[in-house]
Amino acid sequence: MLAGSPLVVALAASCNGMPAGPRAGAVEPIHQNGPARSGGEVQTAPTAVIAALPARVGEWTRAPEVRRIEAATIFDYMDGAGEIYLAYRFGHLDVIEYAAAPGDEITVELYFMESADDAFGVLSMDWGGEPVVVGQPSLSGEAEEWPRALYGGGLLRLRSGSVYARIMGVRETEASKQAVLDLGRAIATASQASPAPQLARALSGTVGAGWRLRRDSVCFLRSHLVLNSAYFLSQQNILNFWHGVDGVTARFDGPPERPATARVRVVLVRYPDAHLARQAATRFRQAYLPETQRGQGIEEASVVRIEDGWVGVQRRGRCLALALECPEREDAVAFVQAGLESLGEGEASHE
Amino acid sequence: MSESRRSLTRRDFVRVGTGVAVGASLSGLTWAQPAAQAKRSAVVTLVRHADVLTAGHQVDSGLLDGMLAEAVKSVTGKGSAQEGWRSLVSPKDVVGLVPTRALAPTHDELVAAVRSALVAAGVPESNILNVQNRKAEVGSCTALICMPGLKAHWLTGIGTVFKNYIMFGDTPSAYHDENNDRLGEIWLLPHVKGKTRLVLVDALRPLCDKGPQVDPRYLWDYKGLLAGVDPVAVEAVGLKIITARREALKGEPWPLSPPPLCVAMADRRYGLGTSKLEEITINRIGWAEGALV
Repeated sequence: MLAGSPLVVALAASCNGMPAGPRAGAVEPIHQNGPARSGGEVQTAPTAVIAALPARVGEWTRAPEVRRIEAATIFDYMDGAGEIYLAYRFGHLDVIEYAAAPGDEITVELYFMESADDAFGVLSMDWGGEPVVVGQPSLSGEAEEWPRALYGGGLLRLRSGSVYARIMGVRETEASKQAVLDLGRAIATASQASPAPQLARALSGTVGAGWRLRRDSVCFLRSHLVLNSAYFLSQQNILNFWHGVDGVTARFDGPPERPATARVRVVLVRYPDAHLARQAATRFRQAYLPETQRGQGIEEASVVRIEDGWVGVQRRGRCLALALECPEREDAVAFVQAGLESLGEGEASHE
Repeated sequence: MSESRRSLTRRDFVRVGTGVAVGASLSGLTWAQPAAQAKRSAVVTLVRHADVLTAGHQVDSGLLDGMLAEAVKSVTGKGSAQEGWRSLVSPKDVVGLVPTRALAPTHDELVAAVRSALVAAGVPESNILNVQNRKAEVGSCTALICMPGLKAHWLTGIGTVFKNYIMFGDTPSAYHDENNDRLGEIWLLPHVKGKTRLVLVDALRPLCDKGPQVDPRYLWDYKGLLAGVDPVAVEAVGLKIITARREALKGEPWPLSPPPLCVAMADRRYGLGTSKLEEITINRIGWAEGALV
């Protein structure tokens, strides 16, 4: 079963460049607001967003109070669900209520995240729903590859700058939908449009012989809890995620000549420095691919056949690329190579 | 617990041939040894009524009372609901009701219906407490009715029966994140063990993804109650309903992620019941359309 072998991949120089995070060799402590900012630096002022919310929308009148929820109190507000936001770099939450009649309220939740990437990350946990246009196009002028706002069942979820918002009407009607969308537009108008995280934008649309990226599977993340929600890898944090790490996971579907069930999962991670990436690669191998520890001299790159296909893993500088469930060895090689190139693009643009 | 026992990976599921779609089955894992080897069986009752919710999702309390009565009769095998309740609790019991308070909560109407049924069975009103989030009061209870809402959970796969007692643990956070497979342990704590007389799951309007923070796209009017005395079996049937709903929504396999380890571990590590559907008999009562099990 085991067929471990070195993977030789041409290394682009960019991932070996100077890291943006802590000095090489230093183990950065985990703290709430990590130092690495690979992108999405847009920060949105809470006062501007709240001021943009109208006193009245349709039949609904805004309550004067703004309820402030901090990280320390988030579980009082949403018992059992606060981890979603704390898994990203959460600043605070402001809650504003609109009421028409008893039992007919609209709740506006404004999550002020540290960066636009964090806001994208929360939205990327679920791309389901009806895409709606609520704001101006990205300042970059690039085509939007992912919607900024999604509506379904009375709930509008959107990202705008570093704000992630949930706007929910208790009773869904045409009027409540219109009001919810109007509130979404007000939020989007008050915050600066920003592109998707570089790591997500750099993903190749196709890899190898016709493998196609499922854009609705792309999830930007900084936490193994979010990874496990998208794709269960391990109970433990075997890739050493924390707030200073940029990660993305996505699924690729096979070309037409492959079985309909053919798919590959990629996980790409950029650490603050090469030392932390090396630590993560080692931990991943110990936990997930112990075969590669058995004296084969494989350290930086592996392609291993396991129970559900081929796994490719390679570290380059501060970047780590994984490809899982690959049907063929060459698929694993192609996905790891493409992943490192995607990570490398980010390094180049970062520098 | 050793580190190696705790580091469960995707490969563990693939090795035992279940993929991650069926988190309730981990029979091939050497460290998830069964607490009991004997052949087991369990009965779970599913009662549904097409009209218990209005188009606006409001509960018809009269119909719900009837569904509850049918559930208790089926679980206990008694001829009337009152006899059934009397076989579960005595007038001397101090009964703790444990509804779900979180964002996909147990319907108030169901809590009220259970309370009324207990009073009708002879339990004094003053002996019926709502003990959710009140660990200190659980010790004084002689009986518990576990009555969570049926929902998926983004950290535990499913967040229904076993998650419902999380506040009864000494340190609830010790059961969060990668330690959620230990949730069954709470049911064996001295102030909890052996007190649960009935597991009654509110499946009127379950949530099949990303709970507990509600996204209405994942709520649906299932209009059911699940009941039984084996908490693992009730959770396993609820898990089957949620899984089937997810696949129906997406039109392709859509496994819960992370896999619901707490269900398998409640069975194999803590011996609280059976998670194997082949060992569970489902008594179906009422509306059959869209039952999913």
